[in-house]
Amino acid sequence: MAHVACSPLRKQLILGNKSYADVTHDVADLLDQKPSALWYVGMFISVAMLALGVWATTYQLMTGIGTWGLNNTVGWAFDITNFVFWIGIGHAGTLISAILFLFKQKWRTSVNRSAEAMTIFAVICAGLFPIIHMGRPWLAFWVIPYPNLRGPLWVNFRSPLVWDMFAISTYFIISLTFWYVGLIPDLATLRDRTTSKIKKAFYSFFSLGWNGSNRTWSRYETVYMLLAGLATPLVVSVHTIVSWDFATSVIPGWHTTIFPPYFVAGAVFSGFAMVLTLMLIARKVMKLEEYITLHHIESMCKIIIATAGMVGLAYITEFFVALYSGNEFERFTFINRALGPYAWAYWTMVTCNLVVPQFFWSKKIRQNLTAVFVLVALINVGMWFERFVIIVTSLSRDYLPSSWAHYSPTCIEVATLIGSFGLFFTLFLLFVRYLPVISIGEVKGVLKYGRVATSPTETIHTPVRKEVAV
Amino acid sequence: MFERCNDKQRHLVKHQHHKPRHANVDSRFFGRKFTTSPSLERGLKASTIVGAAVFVIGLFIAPERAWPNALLAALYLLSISLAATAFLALLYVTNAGWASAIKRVPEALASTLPFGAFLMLLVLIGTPHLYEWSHSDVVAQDALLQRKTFWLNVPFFVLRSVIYLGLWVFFARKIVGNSQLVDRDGGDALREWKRKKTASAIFLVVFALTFTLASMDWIMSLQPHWYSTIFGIYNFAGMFLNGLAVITVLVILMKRWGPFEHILHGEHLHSLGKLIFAFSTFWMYIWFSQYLLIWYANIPEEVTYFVYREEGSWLVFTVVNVLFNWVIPFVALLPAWTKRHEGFLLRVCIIVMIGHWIDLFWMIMPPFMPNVPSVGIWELFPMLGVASAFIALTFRALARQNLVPLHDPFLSESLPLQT
Repeated sequence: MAHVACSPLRKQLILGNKSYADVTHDVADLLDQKPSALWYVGMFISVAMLALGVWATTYQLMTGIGTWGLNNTVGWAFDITNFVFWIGIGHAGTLISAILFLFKQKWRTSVNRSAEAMTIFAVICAGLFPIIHMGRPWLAFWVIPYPNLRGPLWVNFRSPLVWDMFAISTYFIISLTFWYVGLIPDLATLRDRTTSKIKKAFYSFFSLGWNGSNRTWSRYETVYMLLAGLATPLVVSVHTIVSWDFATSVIPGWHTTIFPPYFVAGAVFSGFAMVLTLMLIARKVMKLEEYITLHHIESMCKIIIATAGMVGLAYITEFFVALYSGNEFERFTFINRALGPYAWAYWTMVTCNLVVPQFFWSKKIRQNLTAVFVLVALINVGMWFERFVIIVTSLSRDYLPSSWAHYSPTCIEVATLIGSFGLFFTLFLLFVRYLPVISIGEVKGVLKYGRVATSPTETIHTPVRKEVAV
Repeated sequence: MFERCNDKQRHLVKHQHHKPRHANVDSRFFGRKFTTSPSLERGLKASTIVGAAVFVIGLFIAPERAWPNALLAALYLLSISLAATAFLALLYVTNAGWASAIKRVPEALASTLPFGAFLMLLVLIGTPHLYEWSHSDVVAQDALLQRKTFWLNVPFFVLRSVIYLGLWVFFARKIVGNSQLVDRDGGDALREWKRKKTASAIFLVVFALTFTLASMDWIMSLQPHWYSTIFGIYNFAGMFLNGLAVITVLVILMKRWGPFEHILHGEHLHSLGKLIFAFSTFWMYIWFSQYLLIWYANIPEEVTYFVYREEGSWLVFTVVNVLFNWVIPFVALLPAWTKRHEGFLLRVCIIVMIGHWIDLFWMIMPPFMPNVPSVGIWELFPMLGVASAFIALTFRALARQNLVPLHDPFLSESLPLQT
């Protein structure tokens, strides 16, 4: 496993010439301090959004999903768009934590903790939409196949919606486990630092008796590796199955074989845009610039270029094959997307997902944080519209022109979407307040990375601050 | 997680850029030359001539089998060079350090790209024998084909093929290009590396678009009614998997025959093994995605593709295809030790290489052998012939230079850590 970073081209991952103790202090002190005013402002806005969502959800559950803009033709629209959008957001977290781990990408250590947290929160947001869509969420457990007394009523194993249930719940469990296992060494660090008895009891319980011995670390690394190996096929399976919700049908624009890899690439693409949004705010607000450096941001921008390229290739392929197929329904669907009543949504999608990421080819733009922030926000918008375009345009005008219909969302639907953002940000803000946002243990492992090559004689200096008594 | 450089490695790094002269490079990396034996060269030549002769005879006796096999052979060899080029491009754009020491092997394969391109151009002569849409009388009776003539017509088809091949040869040159020059006169390795990185990034974009279209043109249009949007990705997965297997085989041979002795170590094999494992699984994922969606929707235009391939003895090919490209590599490479075991990995790679041939056979042949697939003299001899020529050319490319890239900026990361 030994990997030597010798090339002069390697950049330092952690700046500021930190010692090991500095890392512990920098990250753990954030949890001891009172939160900043900015945190309270953020929390206030998030909770307000969440409250709006709770109100909207309560209202639509009491009244029925007739409060949405759906009609006979367009039976899936806003809620499923939100579902796919949120599931997609989650994928970047697993990519960073599992796939980049398997590829031995050291820079992941500064961002993986919060990206994984983001995954979990995004999956929670995503899961809400199908449950609300059921209309009677208290019967949601009916999607689980188990011996029951409901007569011949049983799930249809050939339905991708059932596969969805399996894929997403497995994904949620594994993501949570992966995140928690990664947290254990840091929880032990917090346990050893804290002076409060309650906190100590809490951290002691959850750090599972971690003692930092060689054997513990070795077992831990094995488990982590195995979980990374498990999470990788899982993350691919989740969005693959989400894409099958559409692609197993015979609806033009939905039934296309490229959907599985295209959805996975799109998910990672949108997820990275969201990770960057969160990281740019977090590093600024929590003063983590030396941990989440420009190098990290540039790396993520490069992944966005790559995944945007894959998504772009899928757009072009779909359009091309629709023309090539000679099938008039296929051809119509794509021309309708570009020129029909939802053309504005289509061109928003193309601009945000195909054109905007190309700016990241420029190093100057990658290093301009304001520009990056604006561009990734646009990508988030674009990826939401991608799902909207796929779902709504194909349904609203399919084979029978007599049953064509237009869909537009109601304010209840918009309020539910806002509510999901509120939930997401509330959970994220709670996370940064109560758990270490940066993986202390893993960052220590890459502390010296890239330092040797720049100045061979330099040694890591001794701690300047005293360790808090434990 | 990682270790600090030891003195020897730091010494290497320091002198790579400040004084790019041979004097400062570890002398152990010199003289890493590969030489082919004259008897081997003679054998390859003879085999090439026999293969070519059988093909020419086949053109007269059984053109309906000769041409599809020529297409298969050309695609197989072209795809190896193309995969090697894509592999190098990926190494450059991802700043991968682990493979620096062995990168001369994919470079040799990539520099053989013009040969594959030449074969592909020859195959285009056989367009009337291969593609039913090239016959105006067939098109006249087929409403669907009439709607496709904007794309499927001979002049445009040939023009497109020439453009794809031209672009690939151009970029392969850019990416492999002056690599050897840097070794010889110690030139500015870092600047050269950056130039190649830029070329690689542009190549990957161009390659994604052209390869998707090329695989649809050359293979998908053999059954012109059928279409599948994932087809380009499916072909990429198979091509890249096979390319990795070929690279691994050559790397292991270079160790057994001398030049990579003490250079190639378990880490390299482990990484290559992991990539083969990953791309094998990726291939299966794409195979299954295509199959499931077509099976599930059951649209006549689409489903005929698999109906063809599930009937009679073609089912055997379908099963063997999946076995060789995924089941066997997956099970075999699951434990860590097999990926680091030279002999074991070599055998798995050979299975993958046969598997890719079967995969191409499975994609190309059914329209020509609708009932019973047959593999005989017309299939095997021409393939062996061009493969021999390809091997000879690759060996020549390998013999042209020192096999350790002396001034690669990542070389120190790729060398054995404990010597």
